[in-house]
Amino acid sequence: MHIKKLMSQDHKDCDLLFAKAETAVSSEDWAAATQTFNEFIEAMEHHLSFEEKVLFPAFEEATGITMGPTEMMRMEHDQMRVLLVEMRDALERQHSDDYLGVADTMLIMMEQHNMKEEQILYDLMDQRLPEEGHWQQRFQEWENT
Amino acid sequence: MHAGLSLQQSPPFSVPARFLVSAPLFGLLAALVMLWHGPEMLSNRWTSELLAVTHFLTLGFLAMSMLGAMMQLMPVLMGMMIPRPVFFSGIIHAALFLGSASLGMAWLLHINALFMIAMASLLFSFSMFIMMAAERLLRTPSRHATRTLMLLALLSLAITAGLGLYLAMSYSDAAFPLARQLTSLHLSWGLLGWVGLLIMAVAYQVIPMFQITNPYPLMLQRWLGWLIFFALITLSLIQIWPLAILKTISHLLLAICLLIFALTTFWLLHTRRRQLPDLTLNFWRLAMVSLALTALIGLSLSVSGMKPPALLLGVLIIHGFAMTTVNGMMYKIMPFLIWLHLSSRNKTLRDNDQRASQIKVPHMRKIIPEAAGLWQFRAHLASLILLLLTALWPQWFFYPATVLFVIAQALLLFNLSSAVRFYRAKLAELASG
Repeated sequence: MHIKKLMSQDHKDCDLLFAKAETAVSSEDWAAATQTFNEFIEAMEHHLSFEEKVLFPAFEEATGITMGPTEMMRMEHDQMRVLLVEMRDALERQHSDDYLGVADTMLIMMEQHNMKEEQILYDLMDQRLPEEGHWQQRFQEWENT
Repeated sequence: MHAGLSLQQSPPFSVPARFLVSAPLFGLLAALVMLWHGPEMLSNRWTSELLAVTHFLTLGFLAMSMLGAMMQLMPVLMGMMIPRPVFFSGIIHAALFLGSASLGMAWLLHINALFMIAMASLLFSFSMFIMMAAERLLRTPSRHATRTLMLLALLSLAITAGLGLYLAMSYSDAAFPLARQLTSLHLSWGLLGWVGLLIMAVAYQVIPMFQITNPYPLMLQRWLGWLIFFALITLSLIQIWPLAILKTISHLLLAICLLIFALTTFWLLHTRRRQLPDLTLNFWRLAMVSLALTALIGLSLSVSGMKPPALLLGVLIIHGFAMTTVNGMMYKIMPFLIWLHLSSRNKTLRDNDQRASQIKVPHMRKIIPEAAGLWQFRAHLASLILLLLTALWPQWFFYPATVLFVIAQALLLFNLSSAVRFYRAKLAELASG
């Protein structure tokens, strides 16, 4: 499977978990909110770490570009992690207004990041990385350590 | 490979901000001019006051905010930033500001020399922007439908500006024949080509992403924009080769395309996965209702052959569709950019081991409170309804409509400029930290 298709689909899966958690918070169903939020954060970490530790280094090695787009993507991952911490904090305080405010920011941050990856970076990866890289299998088996 | 590709986050804040804050200034100016002149300005569609107000809105509000938004969105959507963004956006903005103001003033004060200033500044601003943006779009590796649509929108802007320049010549020089038959072409290219195609280009991306909906159908993404562009070309050819049937077909095609876009957007929003009420959603829905109404009126006109109610269509498409969409987007763009720029500064401080100087960056809803945006939306909606009624019964509704229009634009200006003041205060806090 192409990297673009695989990773774009995973973006969508993360989006759905994001929306589910947000809905639970807005109806102040804290048990459901905590559970979906945990699923969301796990899916996010799986995605982000796979990129940082597998895909980006492979791309950097294939192209020799280390301070380019992948570096910018890493920086945005860090910004998203800061927001995830703030979301968790609001969730633990059961403060729905704060959670939803940070979630609004997170959604734009995450989506504008996804646009750059889906429309530019993944295409470049598919051009430069070998198709027989078993990306799908590696993604599914990936465990962040 | 891919020279110039930058996945940089964003141009400096001042690049889009100066455009976004200028837009409601012109909106307010337009509303105040209406209040000052009274309902007589609507006695026919060619009064100089109405022409001035229309151009304050289309150039001062719409082109202003759309150029600013494009400079912000191109790096994100296309990975392409205009070169030396602060310098070039500064002169493009200054020329657009001067051009929009002097064009309106030329009509209001009847000073012909101002037409010359307006033409020169607008020509400079638009050609500069179009050349830079087109060059970047042609070089981007992105192959999303948005790229083609943005290019078509830029081409439409060039045609609109060219026709506008030609029309303005007759105002500035009495010897030049007035070519009113070109006005409807100028309007169609401007409102359906430039504004319509650009809004489509952006909607294809931001609606699925920010409302978590299904994507627009691929066929639609690929062909709808081209069909609109093609219909506009046909309409233009009719000027040279008048064929009534061709005119009807082009109008039908335009109306059907706009209706399909409005209904699809409505359907996507209806089936969105994000279930939270959201201010921007109100704006999108209102814009799509206005667009669908425009299309339905257009459709019935081309079938019945009746004379178009120009004022009503103008209000629907300029205020109801275009200004509504832009207004809604401003509430996402402005607070997000402020958050982004402040949090990037914090990140730099963290990387330089100056954690103590970091400041608390508030989330978006603390930068422009939802309630402030909601009240502005209500004023905007009320002003739209009353302006539509004014188009039908000017004597009755003109003043209430205009007063609400003033309020809606003043609130928008207040909300956006408060956000900028907030940003400046935070920067000062960082500098003193």
